[in-house]
Amino acid sequence: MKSKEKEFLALITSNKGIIRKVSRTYMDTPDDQADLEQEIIYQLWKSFDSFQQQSSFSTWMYRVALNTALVFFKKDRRKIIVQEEPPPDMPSDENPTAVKELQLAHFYRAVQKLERIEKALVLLHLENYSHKEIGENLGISEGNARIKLSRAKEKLKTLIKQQGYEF
Amino acid sequence: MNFDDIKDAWNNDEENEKLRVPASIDQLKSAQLPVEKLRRGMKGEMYVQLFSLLIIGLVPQIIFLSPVFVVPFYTLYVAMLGVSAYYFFKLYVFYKSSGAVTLTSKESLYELYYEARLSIEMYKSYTYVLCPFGLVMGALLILSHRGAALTNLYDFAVANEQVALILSASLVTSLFSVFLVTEYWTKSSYGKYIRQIKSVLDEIKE
Repeated sequence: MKSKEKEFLALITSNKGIIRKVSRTYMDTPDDQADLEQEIIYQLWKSFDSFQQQSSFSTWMYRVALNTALVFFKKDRRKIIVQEEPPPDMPSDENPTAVKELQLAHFYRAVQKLERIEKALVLLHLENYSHKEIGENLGISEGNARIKLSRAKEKLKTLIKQQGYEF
Repeated sequence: MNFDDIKDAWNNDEENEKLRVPASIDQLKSAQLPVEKLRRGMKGEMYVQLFSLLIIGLVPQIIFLSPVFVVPFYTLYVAMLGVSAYYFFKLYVFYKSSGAVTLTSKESLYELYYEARLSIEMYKSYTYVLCPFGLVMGALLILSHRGAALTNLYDFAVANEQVALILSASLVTSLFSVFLVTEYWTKSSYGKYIRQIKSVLDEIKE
């Protein structure tokens, strides 16, 4: 294996959480998530030469992953009827891990109903990007990023509430 | 629950580590991006066009062409090859372009959108440019085989205004049909990819 390829795969492995987060936010079934993950890695490899180390690899990777997810459309799997799973029940005990899992399950279920750009805004917000940084990544003004993010968060909140979870 | 709870759960989720990184780059292939589908579709058509060009070049060998028409036929054929080479080169540049995924999302979407639009417009213009070549080359073949009949028809049309009108209308209708078929084909084959990119672009517009 060439050293460039080795270096690339090592960087991907150490930042794989980014790809998983993006794929789970944009696609709802494991098959579609796997397709998107492959597409992201392919696009990252194709653009790897343009990574100039002016920013961290994870920042660059986030940008490529998001831009890929924005224009990724699921395969037409007509024969498979995907049924929406009901949200998990409230954990009976006060197990913090179970509570976190439940919160994430509600989040991922609700986030599927957002528009593509809204998903990108929420994703970057959860990654602690400032409004300015979100605007810079998406190519919109800081003010517009703030307004759009606020609307997306409000929408997400309503969706989670509709699923019967307190927000 | 609030957004801080989601952030906390999101960053400590073990699921995030469950990505299967491919063992080598060779295993990767692009599948679902509209622009990639567009590129693949156009690449497929390019092979059909190349095959058609080869067949056109062999027509005088298959069907007898009067020696007097051979030079005009192949002069047109070479010009047709030149136009096709230019078009194929442009298509190759589009096929090899990176897709601008490293730009800001808005710039990347605009680039993809205009790149895809440009390719489709090029595809259409290539088809229209080939029309006159096809017409003249077809006329040469007919002249070679049914020269007398064509001359009679010409004389008849010159003498009879109604026949001239019918012939002109047929020509215009044929050209218009080529236009309609090309528009329909590009819209049904590639239009959806443009609409997909446009829908995301509309979301991001300020």
